[in-house]
Amino acid sequence: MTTLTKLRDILASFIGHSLFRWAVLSLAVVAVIATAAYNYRDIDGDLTAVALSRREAVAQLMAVTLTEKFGRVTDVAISLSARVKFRDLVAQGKWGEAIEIMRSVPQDFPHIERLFLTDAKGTLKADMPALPSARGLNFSSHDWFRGVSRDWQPYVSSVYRRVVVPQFNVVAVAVPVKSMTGQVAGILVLHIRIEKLLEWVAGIDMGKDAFVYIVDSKGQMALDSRHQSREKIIDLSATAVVQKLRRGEQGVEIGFDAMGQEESIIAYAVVPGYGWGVVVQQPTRTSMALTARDEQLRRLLVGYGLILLLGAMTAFLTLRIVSARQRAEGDVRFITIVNTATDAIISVDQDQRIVLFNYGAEVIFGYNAAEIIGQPLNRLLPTRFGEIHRHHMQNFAAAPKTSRFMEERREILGRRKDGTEFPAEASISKLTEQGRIFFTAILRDVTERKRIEEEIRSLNANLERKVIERTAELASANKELEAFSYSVSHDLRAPLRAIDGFSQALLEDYSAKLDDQARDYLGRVRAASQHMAELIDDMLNLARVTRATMQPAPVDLSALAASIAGELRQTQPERAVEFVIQPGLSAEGDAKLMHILLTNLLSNAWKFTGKQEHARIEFGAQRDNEVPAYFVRDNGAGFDMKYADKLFSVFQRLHAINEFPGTGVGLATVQRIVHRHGGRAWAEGAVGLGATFYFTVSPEPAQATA
Amino acid sequence: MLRKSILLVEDNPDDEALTLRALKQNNIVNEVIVARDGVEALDYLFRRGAHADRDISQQPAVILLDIKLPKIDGLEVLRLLRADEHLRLLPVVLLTSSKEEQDLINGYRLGANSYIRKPVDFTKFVEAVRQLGVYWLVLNEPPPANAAHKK
Repeated sequence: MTTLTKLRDILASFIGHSLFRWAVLSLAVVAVIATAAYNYRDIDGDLTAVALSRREAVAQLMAVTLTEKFGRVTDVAISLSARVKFRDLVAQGKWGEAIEIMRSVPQDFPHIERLFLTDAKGTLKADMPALPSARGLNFSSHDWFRGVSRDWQPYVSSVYRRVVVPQFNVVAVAVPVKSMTGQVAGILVLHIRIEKLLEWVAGIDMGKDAFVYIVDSKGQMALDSRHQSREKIIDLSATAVVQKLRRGEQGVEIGFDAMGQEESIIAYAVVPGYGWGVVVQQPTRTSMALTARDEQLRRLLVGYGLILLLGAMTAFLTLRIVSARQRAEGDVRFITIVNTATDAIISVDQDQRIVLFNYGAEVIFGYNAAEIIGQPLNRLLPTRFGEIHRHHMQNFAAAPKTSRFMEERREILGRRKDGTEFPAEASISKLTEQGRIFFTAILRDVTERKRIEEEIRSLNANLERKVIERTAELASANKELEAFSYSVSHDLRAPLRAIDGFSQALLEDYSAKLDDQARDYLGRVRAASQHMAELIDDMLNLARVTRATMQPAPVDLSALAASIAGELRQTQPERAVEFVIQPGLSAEGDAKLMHILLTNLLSNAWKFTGKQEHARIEFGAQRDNEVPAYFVRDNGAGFDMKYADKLFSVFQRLHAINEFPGTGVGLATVQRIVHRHGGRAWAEGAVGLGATFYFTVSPEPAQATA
Repeated sequence: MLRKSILLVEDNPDDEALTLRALKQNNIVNEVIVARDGVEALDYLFRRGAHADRDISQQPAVILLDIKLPKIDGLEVLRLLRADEHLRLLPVVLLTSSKEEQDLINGYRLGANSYIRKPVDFTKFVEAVRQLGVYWLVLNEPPPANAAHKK
């Protein structure tokens, strides 16, 4: 049953791989991919936004922290400068005593590097810790002085390098010191080392590889988290981000910073109230959020990939189930077809081994499937054809495969289990599956058909022979009839002549010795022999009419009738008979037979009007139907219609022979002639009122169909 | 002048008797030679057998030839007669029972001079023979004896 399975698989896969299914599958795949793409974009956007907003939040948090720190330092400075004793000492110019009050401040506030006092003009009067080189320096040109002296409000300066050694970058917080009367007596300045700012924001996680730089109110880089020891103060006021900051804008963007070499997320925030800014920068590559985004997107893709895979598997399994079902149905159908087929269905593999042998094959070949499967195919072929068949099959196998079902029909001979051979008609298909070739032959035992064909052929031959035989028989019968007629014509008359002749001789030579009765008897002998001669002649005529070969041609019946009428007049010139002949009547028929026909009818009329003083004989035609009916009418003795059907029978006479002589053959001859022309004859009449004889010489429609 | 003879070829003795009677009744007294079959007729005409030493100058004035004859039939006799250069001009009257079309056609085709059907009615037969005698023995001039040789 291997081939059966193969066939079934091919059948099922053919159904399974239908175009429709492929279309559905493709649509599903496209839908999933489209959804994935949409989601990817969506999630990409979301996650990017999240990543960016986080950077922005970091920047803002740092900015707020700085504000707060600046505010606290300012608050410290204000509270220090607001001490009454301190104010008094400053107002009194007791700079040394005043600064002593601040002695503990650097310890209390570690972010305050140092503090000093100037007078209202900006000249340093005292400092803590004390640096003798600084005393007496005027700082009126410094940013912090200009800032605080503008309206005598606390001021946080831009970053600058400290004047006295050791020099380092600081931010100054300057607050006015006012006397109790409200006069500005001096200025308290606190120095904060710029590195402190970084410490303030160090607790804020910026993310991997991120860095921050702080820009002061002049647009200078105050601090760069990557280069804490940088000494040179870099002016960044020309950069795009700093310009945005100085315009009071804040936000986040992805781009290339002036300093950066790679694409980065740049978040920038304004430090409120101080004109400073914070810029947090992180390479896109290492942005945790973007990495997370990418990770998430990767997961998304993997997810969709899984969905596709699952879908494909589902589709595959569904198809398998459907195909399996169809295969099962197909199997049932296929097996039913194979098994109920009366044709033999036999499959062989490449090695000509039988792999399928259905019930039909069992019946035809007489083998059980069980005993023949696995056997070579030539077990089923006449031995003398085995080799030829093998060649043929090889050629067929090697033939270029244009289609899966290469078919041919031809007649072969099969061999049954019992060795008998039978003619079969076979169609052979080739299947190639997984590189293996299978042949399936559907084969029909045509013994019966051959037998019937032979029978028909023989019947036809027989029939033909019989026709020839019959024709020969008929010809021979005709010949015999002819010979018979010939013989009758010659031999039957001779004795009659003798009878008549010697009767006459008696009458002549022995009249003296004969009495009247003897002479009467001899007269009767002569009359009888002469009547018999007439009968013989009429019979011969009838036979002649029957066997004569017809040569149909147009016959002028009117002329013929006139001619016969003339002859009749000659036989009895003394009789006055009126002939009325309709002119121009003609018919298609045999001239000789037409002559005999009209002669018979007109003679009849002539004879039966013999006792009529005014005899009238009419010849004409009636055209009631398609086929004209010719007639011969007389005003003679007529006949009784009840004998009308007997009129045309041979030897039938309606009149006594001594009344009207005749043989009773004439009308039979008439009827035979019209029949030979396909027509018919009939008569109408009444005793003493004459008779009319009708005839047609071609088939009438009604008769033609009958 | 010797009366011309008549060759009657007739196998039926009744017909022979009646024919002779009819001739006699019509006062036809010419010599009647009777041959009873085709062979006898040919022997006479070709001077063979019993007639081997017959006088060649004495040819019959007319041959009354029946068609249906034993051995060789009348039409064959006629054919041989017409095929012979000496005898081809002899008048031959087919006198027979039949008026079968084929006999008529064959008779005339083979060169019969006349075809007469013997009537059953003896009275009519006598009349027919009378007319025959008058025509062939009196009215008709036979061909000259040596005419057959001339072209």
